[in-house]
Amino acid sequence: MLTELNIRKFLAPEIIFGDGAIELLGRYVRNYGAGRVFIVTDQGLVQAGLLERAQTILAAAGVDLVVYDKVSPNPRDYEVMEAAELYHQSHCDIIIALGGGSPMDCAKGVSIVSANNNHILTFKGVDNVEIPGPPLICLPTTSGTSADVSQFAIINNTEERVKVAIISKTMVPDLALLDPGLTLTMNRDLTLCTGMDALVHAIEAYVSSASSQLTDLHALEAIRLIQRSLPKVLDNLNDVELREQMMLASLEAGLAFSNASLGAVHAMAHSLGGLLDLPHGECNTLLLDAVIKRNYEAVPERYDRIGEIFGVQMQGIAPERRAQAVAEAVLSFKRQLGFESGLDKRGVRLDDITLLAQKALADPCMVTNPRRFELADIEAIFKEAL
Amino acid sequence: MTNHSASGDSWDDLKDAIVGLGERSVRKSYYPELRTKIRDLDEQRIFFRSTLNSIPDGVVVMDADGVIKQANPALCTMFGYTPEELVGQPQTILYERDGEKFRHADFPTDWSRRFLRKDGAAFLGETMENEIYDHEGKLLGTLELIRDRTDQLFEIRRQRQLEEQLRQSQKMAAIGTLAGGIAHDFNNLLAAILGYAELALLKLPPGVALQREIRQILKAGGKASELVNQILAFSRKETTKRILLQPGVLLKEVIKLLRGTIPSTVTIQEQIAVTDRVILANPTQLHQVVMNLCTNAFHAVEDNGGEIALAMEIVRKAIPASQEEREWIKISVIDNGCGIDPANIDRIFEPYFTTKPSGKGTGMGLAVVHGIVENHEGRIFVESVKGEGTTINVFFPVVTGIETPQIQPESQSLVGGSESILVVDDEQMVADYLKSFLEQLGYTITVCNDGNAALLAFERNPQGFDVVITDQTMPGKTGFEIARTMLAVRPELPIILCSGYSSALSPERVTKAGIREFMMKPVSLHDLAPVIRSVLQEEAS
Ligand SMILES: [Fe+2]
Repeated sequence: MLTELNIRKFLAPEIIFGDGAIELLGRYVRNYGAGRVFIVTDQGLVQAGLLERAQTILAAAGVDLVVYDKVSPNPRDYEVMEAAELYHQSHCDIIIALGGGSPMDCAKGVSIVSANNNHILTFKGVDNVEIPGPPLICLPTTSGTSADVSQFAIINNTEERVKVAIISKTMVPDLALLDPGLTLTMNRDLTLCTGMDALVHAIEAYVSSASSQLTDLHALEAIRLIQRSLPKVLDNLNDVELREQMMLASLEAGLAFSNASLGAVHAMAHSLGGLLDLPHGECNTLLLDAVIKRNYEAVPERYDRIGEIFGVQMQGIAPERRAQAVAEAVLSFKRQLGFESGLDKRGVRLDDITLLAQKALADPCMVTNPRRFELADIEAIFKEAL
Repeated sequence: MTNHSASGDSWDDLKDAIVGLGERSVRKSYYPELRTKIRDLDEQRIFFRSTLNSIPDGVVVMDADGVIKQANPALCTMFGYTPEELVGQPQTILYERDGEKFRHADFPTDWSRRFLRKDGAAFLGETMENEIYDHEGKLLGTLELIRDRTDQLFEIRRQRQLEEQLRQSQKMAAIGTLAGGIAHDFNNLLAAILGYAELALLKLPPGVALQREIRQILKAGGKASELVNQILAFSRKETTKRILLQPGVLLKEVIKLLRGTIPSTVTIQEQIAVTDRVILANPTQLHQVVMNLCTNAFHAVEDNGGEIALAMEIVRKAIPASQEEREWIKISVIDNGCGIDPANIDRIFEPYFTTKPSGKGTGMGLAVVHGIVENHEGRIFVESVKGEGTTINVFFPVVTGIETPQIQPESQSLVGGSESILVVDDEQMVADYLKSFLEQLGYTITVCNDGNAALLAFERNPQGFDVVITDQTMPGKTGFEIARTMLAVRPELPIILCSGYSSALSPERVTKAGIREFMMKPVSLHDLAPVIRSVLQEEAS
């Protein structure tokens, strides 16, 4: 009801942004009064030497630590439970997530599981976390998921092969320590996927039925930054300044969607990701233009604004042609980046679509989509994206 | 686009929640959780502390280095410390002799230990110790449970004394029986010695030189008689009959006895006031009171020598607990010996309380004294200074309004008569001297040596005797039995029963049976002559 009455909330963690920000980790851990630190990370980060860097900083601060480094891409429910058990047994009292969306989502899961002593899947849905977890510091090494500022955690229910969204303000991290230097380790594919994820976050937050002026500012700025910097960074992966632009874009997109929520693209991408175990950003990218076409009529002015950012002169286009124009602008941006469309090429068959659509309809992200979809609408979008 | 009006409300609610506007969409904070945990910990701490505080035994908790971390109120009370004074101190502050443990024969427990209070006093306690480990098995410290056993130890000692007392009294009873038996026989012999000596004196013409030697026999015999009476008094069962008496005479007797038994390192003073005041008392019990007090006084001066004074005076005063001013006979036993410890002074009248080494006292003496004095409506007070001596004052109420018994002058001439007397005694010597003596006084004497012969003589002529004097203890029939048989025929017949040692006969029983007089052996002829006259006069009137 409050959303309908145009009442809005804006919530963000404490944010430290800048090249070399990781050096402040020791100070913050001490300030939180940590006795023993629990670090959640993955093998990629271990190999990249980032864990060792974090350990050196923490050792200099005189803090004891325990590491869980077995998080897989798209963190699995049992991994969360395993990490929570290790956290509990080693008597840690603060959690650091080092990595992309997967370690951060896993760390959020560890936090609430340890505080509530329940299985991770019991928190599925919105506002189902009773007790907030211990202090959580996020050190993202990608620019896209925005898990470092969001209230979301996406966990893979391995038994039912579906990604479960856990949404709770109790999971907004205490500190986002954003160091663009850490994102230099990303390769081109990962940079593309995460950058596109950030773009979808910004677009969906901007057209969200719960958007507000506060989130609009961040969403629009994020779209502009990504439109400008993503093509460049893909050609200059070691350019720290470009990486910083993308990290800033991801942060702004994150602040926007964390407070305005998302829409159909994410709802459908979650469903798709559960079926194929594809990277989240790739799923989003595959569906984005098809959703724009169907959503356009709900908030045409907002989509026009997006089209203009992508260089379309909307004034010169007939209203009935505009949805197509915006979708095509996005599609051409994808092509510019070298992204190959087509669900069929990823292994989706026509038979899968009904189930995919059913799961997407049940996804909480669907709630703030500007248009209320029926199952048939979603099936149609999937078909178009094939 | 379809209208979802049916599920509109829940849709809106979900939307609110997703953007953080739901009822439960709260900004994460760990604080409420911490607060709950802190409250739980507080409750736990209060619970554990209250539990510890309510343990009636002393509990002290030490860290791994033996430094006191915690002590419960029972322990603080037991030791006289505040908890603050104890925390941080080494545990050895609680122990005497470095906390060495030992098994104590009196306790059915594993270990005892001597503990030390803050004021320096030590006490014996039961102790139990256990080590405290944390959940990882690391030694955190030790816990000791202490139970003060002072009361139990006192109780056990009291029990031991009671057993000792029982053994002692059984021994005394055996000695009493033995002594009574010997005294009885000895008395008979003594009666003969004295009787014949008196007889010899009577037969001698006045002024003969031999008189002095015979008087010496009588004097020594008299002393022997007193000694025997002491033994008899000891062995005889207590009687409760009270008579009017002047305690001065009795006190002098005690002093005489003491002088004969106490070593010369102890001097005895006497300050007996001359008075005609009397008290109502049982002479045996009064004797016991004075004897016990004097014995205690003697023990107080025994080791280092000293002085005992026995004093008697008449005082007029109001004594606490009676208030009313009146006359008392005050008997004081004073010594300049070791004195009584102030800590013990309140307890000296308790039964079995004794500070004397084993064998020196039963602990009953002063308790008996106290009981007797109370029974006589008297009062007893103790003054004592440790190292300087003890004074015990006993007050007996003076009896007024009753005529004081006339003290018989000792050299009264003996009154005789012409009546016929039957003398019954199994000891031929006693019978013979009674016969000789009484015949000298003019009486006609018939002697029988046992009860059957006496009854035969009586039955032959029941009216033939005016008085019967019989011994109690004889083979065959006792004197008492003879008396009863005779009285059944002649209830008015005056009978004098003499007995040296009788545990079965009480004066009450004798009187009740109609026997006129009951005399203790050895019967002095001086005493017997007036008694015969008096029973004959009673009969005449
Ligand atoms: Fe996303």
